[in-house]
Amino acid sequence: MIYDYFDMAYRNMRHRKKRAYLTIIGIVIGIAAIVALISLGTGLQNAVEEQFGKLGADSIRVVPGSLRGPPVGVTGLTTKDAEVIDGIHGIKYITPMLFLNEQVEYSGGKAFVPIIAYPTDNAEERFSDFDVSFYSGRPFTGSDKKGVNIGFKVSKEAFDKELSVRTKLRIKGEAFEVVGVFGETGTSEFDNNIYMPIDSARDLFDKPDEVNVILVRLDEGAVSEDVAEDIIRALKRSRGNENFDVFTPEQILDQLGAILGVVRLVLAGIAAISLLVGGIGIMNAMYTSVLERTREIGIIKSIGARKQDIVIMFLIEAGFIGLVGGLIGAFSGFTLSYLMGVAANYAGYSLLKIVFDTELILFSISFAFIVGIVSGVLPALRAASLEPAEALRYE
Amino acid sequence: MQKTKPIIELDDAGKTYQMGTVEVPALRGVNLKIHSGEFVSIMGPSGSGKSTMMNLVGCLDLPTKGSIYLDGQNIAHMSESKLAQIRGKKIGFVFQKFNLLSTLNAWENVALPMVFQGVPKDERRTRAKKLLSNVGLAERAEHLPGELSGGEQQRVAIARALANDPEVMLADEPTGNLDSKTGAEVIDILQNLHKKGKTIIVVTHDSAVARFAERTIHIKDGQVLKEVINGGGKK
Ligand SMILES: Nc1ncnc2c1ncn2[C@@H]1O[C@H](COP(=O)(O)OP(=O)(O)OP(=O)(O)O)[C@@H](O)[C@H]1O
Ligand SMILES: [Mg+2]
Repeated sequence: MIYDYFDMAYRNMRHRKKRAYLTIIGIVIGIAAIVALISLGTGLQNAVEEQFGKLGADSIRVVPGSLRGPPVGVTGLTTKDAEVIDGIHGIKYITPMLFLNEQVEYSGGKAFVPIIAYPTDNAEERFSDFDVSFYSGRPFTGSDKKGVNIGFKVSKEAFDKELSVRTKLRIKGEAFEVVGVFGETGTSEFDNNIYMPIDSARDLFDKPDEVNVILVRLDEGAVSEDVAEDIIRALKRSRGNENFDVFTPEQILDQLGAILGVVRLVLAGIAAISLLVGGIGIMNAMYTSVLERTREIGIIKSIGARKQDIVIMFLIEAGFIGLVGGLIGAFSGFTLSYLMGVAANYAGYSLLKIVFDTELILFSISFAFIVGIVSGVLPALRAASLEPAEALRYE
Repeated sequence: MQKTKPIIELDDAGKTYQMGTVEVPALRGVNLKIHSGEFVSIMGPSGSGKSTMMNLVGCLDLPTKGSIYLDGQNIAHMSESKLAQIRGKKIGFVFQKFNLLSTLNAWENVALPMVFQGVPKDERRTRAKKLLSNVGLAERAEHLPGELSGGEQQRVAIARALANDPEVMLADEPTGNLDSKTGAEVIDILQNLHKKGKTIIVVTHDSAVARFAERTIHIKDGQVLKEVINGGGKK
């Protein structure tokens, strides 16, 4: 029975191919937009979470406070703060860093490459705790006053000529030698920066005690929330102000998740509007179809079709349009987002991790089917309520 | 007509159409009895209410006054879906314009009334093809209506009307769109059905066609003018 209705719906669509195609395209666009935008949103979130995952679940970031209140007295972090934190229980080690921006010269070329001033003691352990390996060379040590480590992309892309171990760079007029190139990590924090021994950087840039961020690596088993609280208490006491922020990975992920959630909601909203338009398209097509098939409806009624048979016939036809549109739309939407992910990666932004979301695909296909059915309700009722004798007179 | 109880009985049945504020009385109170197995023709000028009467008898429309009994049941107050069931099971329609569905081929058109009675697909196909071969269209089963001649289409329509083995066949000017030769073939089929015991009512303008029936009812201005008994429905 139901099969017969599907069969008839299929034949009717074949009979009116052009309109069926146009109507289906309306749904395809709506569903493709939904799937593509949600996939992109999820891809963005995946990528961000992965990047933060690489920053380590067992690490805490301490940064200078965002501007609240008048900047009185000491505002930024200093080496003193680092010392205070280092004394707290549950901490394996801390990594104070300085972010610098300076023109770097190499074989006649000049480029601005972000420089991170980084401790030299145990640099190897610090790097490997972030899963950073070496493409070539080695981590700098305390004896490398004028040696730097560089990110994979810095070595490949910063200058016309590739940088490698033993390459000499000039920074602020001083010569530095590349002693190691990181393997590619996929995070810009390592791929796109030059790492310089912090003591050399302090001399070169004349920043004797400034610190831009302090990374805190926790002891095995230490609870990040508890340690974060201890840090806050200790810093408050020693600094006498609250001009600093302490982030646990959970907090950062929560915040980002909230922002990305809103982004996704907005994207889904935009997509939903296009689907609504697609639904109205189905409704319009079904109304036209009812009008065109008035006589046919009269015939079917004259041979024994009940109201509910007519309703089901039209609903199935509308649902069928939705279903076909949903199928095509879901897969083209996914393909679109996938290609965008590939393109983004190709362009060097590892910001999109598109994964095939079976649930999203199934959901959007059923949603399209439902949109079709809902759009078909009014036309179907209209068709079913036609008086048979009247409908048969219709030319 | 004295032989059995009436299968169709119109008791002061009337139909008035409302056209905006204007009332159009299409049928003005008709009394009529048709017995099971009868072959009746209805004649009358255009606009006299023949189709209106057929539609009432066939449950396609409801009377605005009086009663219509089908097999002893008054249909005037029946629900839509009950009426649809009766149309599907007890009545077979044949129209002047054939009224086949253009998207379905011949056998599928014939099988369609069985869809609404829940007959399984295989059974539908077998029965539809048998009905088609009964009207001499076995080789045309897979053809679309657009690929058939008028006479063939009308024979498909007759086969469709017989799909659920109804008690009553209603034919509203079945030869109106056909030349006299193909028209005669259609009348031949109806006569054969009559011989097999079906109740047949034919609306026609053609007195030659009307004479094949046992009885001819003449209608004018929505009323029965006279009834004429023909020679027992034989040539
Ligand atoms: N749905 C309708 N709305 C308004 N008036 C109608 C309707 N159906 C029929 N009529 C009117 O009722 C009258 C009888 O119509 P009907 O179709 O029964 O005539 P008929 O005898 O079948 O004529 P014909 O030989 O031309 O088919 C006509 O005046 C017609 O205009
Ligand atoms: Mg008529």
